[in-house]
Amino acid sequence: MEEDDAMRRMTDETAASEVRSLQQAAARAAASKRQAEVAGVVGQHRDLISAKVRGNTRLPDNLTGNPEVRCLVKLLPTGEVQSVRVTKSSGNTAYDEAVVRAIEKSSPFPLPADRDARAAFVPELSFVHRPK
Amino acid sequence: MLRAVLLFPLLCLALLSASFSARAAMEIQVIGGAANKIAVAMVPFQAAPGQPVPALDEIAGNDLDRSGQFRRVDVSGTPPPRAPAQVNYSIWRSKGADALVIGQVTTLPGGRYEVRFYLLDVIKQAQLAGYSYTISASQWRATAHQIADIIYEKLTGTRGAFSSRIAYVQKQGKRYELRVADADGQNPRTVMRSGESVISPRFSPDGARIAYVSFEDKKPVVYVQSLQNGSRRKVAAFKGSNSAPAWAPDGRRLAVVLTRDDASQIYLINADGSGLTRLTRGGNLDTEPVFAPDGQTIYFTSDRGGSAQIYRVAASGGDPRRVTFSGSYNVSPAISPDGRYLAYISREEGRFSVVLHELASGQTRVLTDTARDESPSFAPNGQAVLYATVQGGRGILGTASLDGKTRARLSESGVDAREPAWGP
Repeated sequence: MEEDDAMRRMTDETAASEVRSLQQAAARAAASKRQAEVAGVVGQHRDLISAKVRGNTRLPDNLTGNPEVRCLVKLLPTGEVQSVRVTKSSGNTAYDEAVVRAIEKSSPFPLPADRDARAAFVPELSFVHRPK
Repeated sequence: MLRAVLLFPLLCLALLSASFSARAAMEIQVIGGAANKIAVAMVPFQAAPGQPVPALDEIAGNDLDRSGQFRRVDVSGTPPPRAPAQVNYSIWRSKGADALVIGQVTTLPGGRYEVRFYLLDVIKQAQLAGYSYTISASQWRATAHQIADIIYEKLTGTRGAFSSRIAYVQKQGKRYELRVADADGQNPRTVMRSGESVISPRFSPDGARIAYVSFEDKKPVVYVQSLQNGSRRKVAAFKGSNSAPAWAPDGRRLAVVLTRDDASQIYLINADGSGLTRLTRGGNLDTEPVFAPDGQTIYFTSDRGGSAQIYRVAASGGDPRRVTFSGSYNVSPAISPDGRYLAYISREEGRFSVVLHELASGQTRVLTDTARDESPSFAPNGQAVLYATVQGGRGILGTASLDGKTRARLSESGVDAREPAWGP
């Protein structure tokens, strides 16, 4: 009788641990699926923001070579641009101004609706702009 | 042991928060720019009763359109602001505007008008320009061109050329008229009439005089005429043909083409007809000289290499150097005010088109899609080329932007206009 009880307990425990590990695996799979989803949405919005800024950039016609401008952009969670600061000038004032203007004109940025994905964009973004 | 167990989660937490706070902002790369036009919302100015037509904003808007630098934003469906304080920037921003132009006209006693206009930066929410003019009806178009010049300069950084003038020859039957008009082809006035051909008008650098070739003496003679009082003098009336005047940038000398000693050759002469010196030599045809903006170099057309090509020679003399190499026929050079570009007529597969040639790189671009183009000349700000072409059997005038993407027709239909030149 006691042996029976012991046997049943063992079986129950084995079953429970199997269920537990299955649950864990499912949770891990769900987490990695979620991570991939978030990464996908982040990547998609990176492209959307880049395209919007590109569409609003009017390159000056006195550009020579392929100079790079870097900017730090502070954003609200709504995607609205709060400030744009040039962190590395191209050496061409007209080009620097054109990039800042394009970023300002692109406000609000298209941000993901998903909170986790949106967190990757707020509160600030770094921009690298090259003519070609 | 316990210590280690306690420490480990703490460490993890510290690492986590460190990685969070020091997280670099995500980087977004942007390559290139797709906007080639500035989006301008031109709100119709509040009109005064009985004001001249077309409206100022319409004339200025047409000027901006012709330049090819702007895209007009639809302004319908929004109550028109009249003063900067009434502007709701978010509305204009959502319409995609970079800049907003507003204004109003009010009637003053004595048939005069007060014009106020404002140019506003929609992105920076700031006023870029605000002007007020008191004008008579006769200054209406000139005021509109000034407004267009201000908008152009504030938004592109290059000065506008809408207040400049053009010259051209209008032919009606056997009558030739040398005319000077606004840069949009409007407001023409005749400065010289003749029953014989008139060609090659060229404004002096200060715009006060005009040189041209008249056949009224039954042969080509170069005249210089004052645009202020109409007085004129013969500058080159030598034996043979006298043609193709070109002003030196100082306005004191001209290059002309004479057959006095030889086949057509280039000479320099003072604007009063004194001090003739010969510049080119050889039995070939040298013609159509034009001074570079620094006055040191003269570009011209010559057949010395076997086909008509463009050459350059120092204004002090010396050996000419060939400039154009592609194609078998390149003529009628004009040089941009910054000396960067040549515009000329090139024949390709039987079509004569305007070509823009960057001197530093040698790169060329065809600016027109017509087949019988002639006489290119640059706007005083270098941003467009004026030329003549033929449509429906008549000579017409047109302008092309330097990218060739925007072309506009200037002359009215029903007249035969040719030999254009853009002046200051």
